[in-house]
Order: sequence, then structure tokens, then C-alpha cells
Amino acid sequence: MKKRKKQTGECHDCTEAKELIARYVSGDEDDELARKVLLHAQTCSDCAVLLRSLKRLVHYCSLEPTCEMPVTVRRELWVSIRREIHTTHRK
Amino acid sequence: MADNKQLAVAPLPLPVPDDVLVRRVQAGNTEAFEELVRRYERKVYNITYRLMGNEQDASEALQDAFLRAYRFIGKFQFKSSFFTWLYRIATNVSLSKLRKREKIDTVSIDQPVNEAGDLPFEIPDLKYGPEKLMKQRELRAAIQKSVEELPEDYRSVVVLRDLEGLSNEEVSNVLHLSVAAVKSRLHRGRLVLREKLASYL
Repeated sequence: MKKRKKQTGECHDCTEAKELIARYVSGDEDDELARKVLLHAQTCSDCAVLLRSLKRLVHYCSLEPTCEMPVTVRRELWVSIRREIHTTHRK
Repeated sequence: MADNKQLAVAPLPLPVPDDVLVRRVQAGNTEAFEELVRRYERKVYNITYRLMGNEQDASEALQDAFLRAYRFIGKFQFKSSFFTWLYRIATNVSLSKLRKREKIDTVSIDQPVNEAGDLPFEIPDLKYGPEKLMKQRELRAAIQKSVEELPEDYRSVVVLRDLEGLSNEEVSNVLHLSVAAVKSRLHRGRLVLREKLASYL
């Protein structure tokens, strides 16, 4: 159990908080969970940074554009598919 | 006359549900399979590219995935959606090729990120957005490279969930994992990525 002494004198269990942050960022939609996470993040800078960086990571990944499929790749795909279809139908 | 010809060879309209197309393929309609390929070729290429990391390997995996799908579509029993089944094939083909291509460093998924369970990170300066710190292209390249370096168990989950936008439930269906396992691997994978991409976050 990782305990952290805050300037306020308040102790926080960051192990539990990190577990909650993982669930929160993974998409668990639960108002109580969100409230706990955000409340803890307001009082713990480490967890606030963790939360912020994970959210940014997920956001940046979601912005990743679709890879363009090169023309040659598509052409080869269709050649192999039509060959397969042709071969199967001849059997 | 020319118009009639065009109509005769026009591909099946997109709104035809996948399941209907699959039944047509199972009944011997090869055009229905071609429509399924057209519908999913880009998505499947994205998955194979994200997992394999280069065009040539991704292209081979793409072909193998669709060829396998065609060979085994007769056994498809509609217990899952077609795209889930297809994505599973594409993921399995890619991972299988990866194992052959390189000796993968087998990091246990239960292994903590470090002894203390802590992660080193740089505290970002919020005055500057990532766009100002780094060109978008560099960030994309860094994400792709970092994803490629992820252990296999994390990589497939991160690619399907975070890069391809599938839901936790869809990823669990594709990978035959429980939703809890998906979330666990996703979080661990994200923690590794976060460490690798610290300077961008």
C-alpha cells in the first residue's frame, strides 16, 4: 500500500486510486467512480498527472488517422482473392 | 445500353447487412464475398499494419486473413458478428506471422511495470500543447513505433481498442477474452505506452 503524506496532512491510498483511474479511463461509466477519481486527483498531484497523461494518450490514439492502403497492396489483395475464388470454383 | 451495363456490374449496395452477404457467400455467391472484402479491406489493413509495423508484412497478413475468411466462411455460424470474426482472423494471422518473424520478448502480462508499481513520467508543461512541441507526424510515428514495441498481449488490445476504436466488448469478442481481461491488458498496455511517449503527454 502506497501512502502519501500530503501538505494538508491528509493521507491518500494511491494504489486504490490508480485502480480507479484505470477503470475510469478504460471506459467504466459510473458517476460515483468518476467522482472518486476526480476528487482524488484534486488532492494528489501524482494521480492527477497519471490521469491527465492517460486521457491524453487515449485522445491522441483516437486521433490517429486511418492508414492509407497503398494501391499495390490493394492490387495484390484482389489478385490473390480472385485467384482463390477461381481455384475454388474449378474444384 | 451503356447505362444498363453499368447497372449490371454495380457492386451490391452498402446497406445490405453483413449477415445477408455472408449467407449469400455460403450459398456460392462470390460477388457477395467481394463486397465484404471491399467493405472491410481498409479496416483489416489498418489492423495488420498496426500489428506488423510495415507494409510488406501487413500486405501478406491482409491477404492471408481474407483468404482464410473465404475458405472458412462456410463454417461461420453467426454466433458473432462477421466483422468480429474477420478481425479475429486478421489479428491471429498477424500475431502468428509476428511470432515467426521475430523472437518476441515474452513479457508476462502479470508483471508489474516496475517493482514499485510506479511509473516515471515527465510532468508536462501545460502552457504548450503537443502541436507546439512536436509535429503531428512525429507524434504519429512515435505512437506507431511504441505500439510496435508493446508485448503481443497488450499490442492487440491497444490496436483494436485505442487505434481502431472498437468497444471493450467488441475487443473481448475478437480476442476471446473476458471484458475484465481486456480492460486489464489495455490499462497495462497504456501504462507502457505512456512511459514511452512521456515527452508527448
